[in-house]
Amino acid sequence: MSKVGRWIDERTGLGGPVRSFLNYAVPGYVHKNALYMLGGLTLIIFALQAFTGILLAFFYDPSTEGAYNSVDFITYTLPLGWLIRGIHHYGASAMVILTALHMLRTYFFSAYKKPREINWLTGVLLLFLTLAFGFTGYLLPWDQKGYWATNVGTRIAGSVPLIGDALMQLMRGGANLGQATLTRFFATHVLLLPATLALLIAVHIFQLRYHGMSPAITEKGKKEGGKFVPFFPYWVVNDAIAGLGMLAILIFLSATQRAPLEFPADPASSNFVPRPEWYFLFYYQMLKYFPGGLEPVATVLIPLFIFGSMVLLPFIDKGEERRPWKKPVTTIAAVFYIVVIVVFTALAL
Amino acid sequence: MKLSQMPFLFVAGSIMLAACASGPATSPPNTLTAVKVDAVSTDAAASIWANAPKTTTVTKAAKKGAADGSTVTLQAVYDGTSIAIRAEWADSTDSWQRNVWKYDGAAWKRGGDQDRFSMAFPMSNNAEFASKGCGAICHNQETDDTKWWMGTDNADTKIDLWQWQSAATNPVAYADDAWWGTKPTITSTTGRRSDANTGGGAKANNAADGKGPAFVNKSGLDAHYILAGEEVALDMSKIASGAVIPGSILAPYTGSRGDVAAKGVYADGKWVLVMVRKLNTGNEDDAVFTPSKPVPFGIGLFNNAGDIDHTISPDVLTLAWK
Repeated sequence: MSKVGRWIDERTGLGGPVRSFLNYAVPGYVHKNALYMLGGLTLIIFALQAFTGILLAFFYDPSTEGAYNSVDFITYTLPLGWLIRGIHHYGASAMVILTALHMLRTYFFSAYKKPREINWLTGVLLLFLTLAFGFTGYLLPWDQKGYWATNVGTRIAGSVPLIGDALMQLMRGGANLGQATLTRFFATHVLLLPATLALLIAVHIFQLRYHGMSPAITEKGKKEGGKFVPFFPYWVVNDAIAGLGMLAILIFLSATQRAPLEFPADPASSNFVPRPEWYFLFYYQMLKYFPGGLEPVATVLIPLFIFGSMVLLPFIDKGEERRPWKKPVTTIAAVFYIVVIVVFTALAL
Repeated sequence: MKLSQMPFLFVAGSIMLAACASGPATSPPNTLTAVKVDAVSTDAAASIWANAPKTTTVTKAAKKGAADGSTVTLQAVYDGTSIAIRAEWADSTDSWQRNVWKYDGAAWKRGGDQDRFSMAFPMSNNAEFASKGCGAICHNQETDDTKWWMGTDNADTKIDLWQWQSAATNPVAYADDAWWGTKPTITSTTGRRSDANTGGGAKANNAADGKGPAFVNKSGLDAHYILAGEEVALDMSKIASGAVIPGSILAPYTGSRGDVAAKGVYADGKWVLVMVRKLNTGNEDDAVFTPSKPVPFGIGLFNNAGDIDHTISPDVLTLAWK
């Protein structure tokens, strides 16, 4: 340890825990499988979102009069503002994709089984928080797309039986979208969600370290189970390289297709057709199949069923079997959901 | 990580790219996409237009009950400093006799109008213009045309207006650069103002007594216009009944009012017009164009007419960039 390191360690006692964290033994079957990088990549993209979000917040004006102009300034006038906003914009999509892929890896590898139930539950919450980030961030530019998509989104919340009106009122801060809505969405997006997400990530990682990686599901993997490499530098370097690759993709996207900014929100506009961000398109499409009195089926029952089944999964599927090809029910159920989401998204495009 | 796992990363990256970049491959309706070229030009036949996407808009009467207008085909290109917009529309006549002097054998009479094409761009982000178009702003959201006053409701809302005129500006290769704001005084009938100028402009071709023209074009009595410096004194001995003499002596404006270079050519029953302006003129009375930033705009078409007798793009048009 260097002189400076010793000085810090003597005063903080951090040396031991940090060494322990970095020397964590990663099983060979994990280190050699790129699918296990998804969690680390999701963490990296969250850090990137937090960093770019802080930079954007320096210039963003959370008022209905100033929001659009401030985002316009960031996008078209501020040096490299287009890049920061572009990374944040496309990073949001990347975070949804990576979170979903990480979740699928966990699901198909049965990594939610005892004793990792809490890790799975925090993962489910993290997925929904990621979607909440997308929903609340959408309104912030105060452009037509964000305004009308939020209008529809909050109306969907309003259609929930019994508590719908109160829920919509809570989200909007009034009967209509306005300054109160923007303030609430901004506070949720930059304070409540990041703090909750960071806390859940901490619990998630602590659980991961406490229980260790879930067992390998293949014979080959099991053979590798006895071999270990230290977390640092092996896994860290792998994830860092993949993270840089992901950053390169985000920069490429930001440079070739600027983060969109529609025209300013006009509450009096009657001809704007609201459309959600691509990761909500499947839901937008599904709502079309449940008109009128059937609406609560799509707005309440189906989301509750999906969320409930995700929460209950580790308590229902308690068997020892972890191989997806030996578990047709869970595998077919997941494939069904994936196909529905892909098909509905394609139909809505 | 093994090399054999690289395809997974490739697939994951591709999914990210495809999902993140999902968007229309072609221009959406009512969108004029400006494409980058080496250098813009007012030449409507130049090769720069070959790859510029065309967008069409069927113009509708601005005044209730009046006839609708031609379909206008638009294209746009830009280079490092300027944007050029090409407009093409059918017109059965080349209307050049704006405010001309006509001799009936006994006396001179003034009259006549011209063809015009105008474009309106908001000078700042404006939700109302962006969602309702120039009709909502310029016409003060009033369907009764007698109540129009051609201005904006809000002092912060300013609209840049380029108006090309077949007789008054085309011969001197510019479009009149003006802007709309709120009414300057309570008794004003319009919020329209001309951009600042440092000289130039048309002068009336009036004799001292105001009862006839003072000059003709030195090239002859058939000329459709008289440019400043080309005027020669009228010789009444050469004038026969039915003579038509241009009512103005034209010179291009200098300063902000003359920012928009324009060249319109009438042939085969249609006008083909190209207007060119700097992306950023540096003038306070002009809209600033930032390539990559979409801009809402509207167009107006005047067929041998002026004032409210015109047709407009019924939908908001968007200037996009490629």
